[in-house]
Amino acid sequence: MTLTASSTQSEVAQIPVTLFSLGTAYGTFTWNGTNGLPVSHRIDIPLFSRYTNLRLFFAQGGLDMHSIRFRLVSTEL
Amino acid sequence: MAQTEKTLDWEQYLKTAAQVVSEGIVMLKNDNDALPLNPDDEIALFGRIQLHYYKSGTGSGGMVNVSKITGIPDGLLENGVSVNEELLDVYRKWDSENPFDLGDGWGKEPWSQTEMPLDEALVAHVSESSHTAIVIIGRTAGEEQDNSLHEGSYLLTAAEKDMLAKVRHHFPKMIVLLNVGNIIDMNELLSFDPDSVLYVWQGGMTGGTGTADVLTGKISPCGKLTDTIAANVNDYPSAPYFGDPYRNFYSEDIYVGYRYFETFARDKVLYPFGFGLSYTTFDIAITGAKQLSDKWDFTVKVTNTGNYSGKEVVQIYCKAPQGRLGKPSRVLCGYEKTDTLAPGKSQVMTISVSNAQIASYDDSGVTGHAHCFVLEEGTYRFYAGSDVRSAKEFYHCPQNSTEVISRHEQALAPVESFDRIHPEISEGRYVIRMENVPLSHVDEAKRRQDNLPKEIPFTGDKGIRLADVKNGTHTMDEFIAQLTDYDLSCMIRGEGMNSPKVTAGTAAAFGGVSDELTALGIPSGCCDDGPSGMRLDCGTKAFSLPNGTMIACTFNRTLIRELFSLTGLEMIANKVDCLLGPGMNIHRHPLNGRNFEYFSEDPFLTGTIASAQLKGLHSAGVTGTIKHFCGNNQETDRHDTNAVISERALREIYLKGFEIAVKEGNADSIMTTYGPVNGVWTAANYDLTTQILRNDWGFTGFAMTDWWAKINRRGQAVDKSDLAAMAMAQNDVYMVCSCGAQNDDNILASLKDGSLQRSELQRCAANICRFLMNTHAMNRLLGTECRINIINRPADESDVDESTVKFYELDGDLTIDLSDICTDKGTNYSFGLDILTPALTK
Repeated sequence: MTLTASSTQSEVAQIPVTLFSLGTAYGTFTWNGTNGLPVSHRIDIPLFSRYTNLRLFFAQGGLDMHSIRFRLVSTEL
Repeated sequence: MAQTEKTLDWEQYLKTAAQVVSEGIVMLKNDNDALPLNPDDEIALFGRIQLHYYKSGTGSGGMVNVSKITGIPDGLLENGVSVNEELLDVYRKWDSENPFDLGDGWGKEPWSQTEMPLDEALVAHVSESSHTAIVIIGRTAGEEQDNSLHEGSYLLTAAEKDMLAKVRHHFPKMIVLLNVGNIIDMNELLSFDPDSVLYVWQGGMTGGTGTADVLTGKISPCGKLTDTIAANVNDYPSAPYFGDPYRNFYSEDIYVGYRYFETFARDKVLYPFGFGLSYTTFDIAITGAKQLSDKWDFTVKVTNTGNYSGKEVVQIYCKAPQGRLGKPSRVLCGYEKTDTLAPGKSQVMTISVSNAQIASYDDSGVTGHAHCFVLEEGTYRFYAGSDVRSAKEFYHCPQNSTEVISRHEQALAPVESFDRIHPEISEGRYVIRMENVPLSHVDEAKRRQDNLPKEIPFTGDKGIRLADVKNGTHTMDEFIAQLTDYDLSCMIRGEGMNSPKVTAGTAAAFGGVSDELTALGIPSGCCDDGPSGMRLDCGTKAFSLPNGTMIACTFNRTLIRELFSLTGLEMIANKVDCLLGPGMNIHRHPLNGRNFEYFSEDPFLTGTIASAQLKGLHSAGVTGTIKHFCGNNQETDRHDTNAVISERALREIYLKGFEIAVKEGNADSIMTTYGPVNGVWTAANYDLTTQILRNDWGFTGFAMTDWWAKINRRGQAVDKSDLAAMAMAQNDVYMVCSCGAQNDDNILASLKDGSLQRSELQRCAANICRFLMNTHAMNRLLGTECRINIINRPADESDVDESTVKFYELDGDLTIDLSDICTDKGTNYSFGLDILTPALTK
């Protein structure tokens, strides 16, 4: 999945976001200031349960989230 | 319809949990009056884990989202203790540059965190103003991850040893706190000669408060070890077998923990079972013994002979005659904790010991009573004290002939030959002689066939709803008679995780998992992890409880019951019916990763503490699902490793705690394990979930599998779709299917080919409905729900309201617009996916 966000904070600002799936942390992504331009981070996580709860935790303020995108790779499992 | 309202006082909840922490801390050493802390002293805190208090282990036993964790420095500061701020700032700065490593997924969190390298000049400098140092060592472990004999797990790391050496060198007083889930190696630690050593375990969200209360002397330590601490991890008799990925022979048989050490290897013990120091001293005197038909009542007077107020645990052990079966030198058969006794004050208590608790199981017929619990002929000696080693004999009584206490049928016995420990007396001491384990002679398929329930004739929908059964206007049979084959196939499917039919972020919905079942008035029950509090994966905050080992170390059933009555109210507030705990497997070996959430190496303590939890939950009208039934004693290859256990060891050790929880704690919900016992996976093991659980013990609740558990039939390969086998075994619910209404399993096909009887499905359905009928989920359907008014809970702006969690359908590519969400510091954003087509998605 791909998380896209931007920030108008300084280029050395550190704005971490942790992604949890079913309560387990799968990664922390840190954005710096992006001059307001969208920047994406990508992560592959297993989606093994039909109903899956995802959570984003924002440890710092100053981030403008844009979207989260899921891309189908294959229906052959 | 009448509704009720109850109040959950969050402050009382915190206070009660902190009391459990204080009473669960075990002090092993306290020289030079290092503790309690002198109120005038400034304390220097070492160890990076002071900033990341381990509130629990990992996995389902620890994933509670909390608003606040009170760590040990917080607790000390709350208590007015002066802490060296300069040192604390050094740790804070280093910690910000070296963040805590959460790992990268399920079961991947490291056992410990990298320790801050300690500059000797800093230690020397700090010691100029602080004369007492507290060093905190932290460890985690958990699901899918056993502890290991490596640095950072069971052993100290080089950085930790360096820290201990430098602190010891510069500080006149060094106190070591072990913020760990289970025991770790003590040899190296003791070589640094700390003045005080305390297992402060993992105390949940309020662990630091309870710990500080002990350190400052507000509460005198009164926790007792629930495991033997041996000098060497290889001294444990299960060591040669533990961790085997294929087949794990339980050759130590009933000689687990102190049963082994007190019988065969007293010299290998560093700290005995039941041990724990106090700031004060006690005198324990037995003042009366009364033998009744089925028990003894012992009267004991406890007097505080020291200078601090405190509590003491009186432990009663039995030494049964060796007889033909062979017996351990000591078996815990009773215990009680005093109230807080002021110096010079006494308390008189009665401790009852039942015949059943000191009886032995004859799995061979050597006593003439095969498959019976018996009291063999000879002298029974009783010992009382504050730990197994120091307990003194105070009473003995003859058993003039062998007496049968309870009769059973052989069940769950091994099918492959192996040897087990048997004691033999040689030159006045016990030595080990190995003997063959009796094997099973049961035809399990025939047992099932001979005990098939009678089918209830199908009636179709007669308009009877589950509420009518609850109200007594119709019978359960009349209700079940309406269920079609399809309905019955849905009933035994749990749906999850994160089913939208129940509270968001929970483990499963069960019961009303299809439109048809819902139309019949069957509510969707909600199961949720776990032993340390509610795991709400959508981010909703909940109360994080002390871990299982710490809870058991309190030896205080009254306090545990009180704590879990509050947890019960919190469950109602979150619409959770079954908390998936307590975990109550036996601490067979110190490296088991889930020891932190289990209680003890002793089954009596395990069963009685579990019963106390259940009684607390039941007082609120909710329940705990006792798990993992049975023999889940290692995490390594837990889905497949075959636990090969004698029938005697099962009955006396690995089933005993569950039996107590069923009979004394009125357990009404139980979860089987992932792996096999004696060749059959427990998810479909008739002997386990029908013969023993229900026929022997009288369990009337419902059973469930562990999540996505494997299933097999005797001699056959595993097949997760074989829910028919599960139903035949009367394991009622498969946890979990992605959709309760539709699932790729063999239920309907097995009905059609006659291998599964409709009556067996009806039996499962009745078990589930009987349980659901008495839940708050049922009350909510009927409009008679109980509302919980939570008071004194601090506001938490980062909390997630589970009722607002939105589900998005994922069927191919999907982009979710997040431009409107709040991203303020400390906030969470939670959403759900309903994955319509299983696919590889990135």
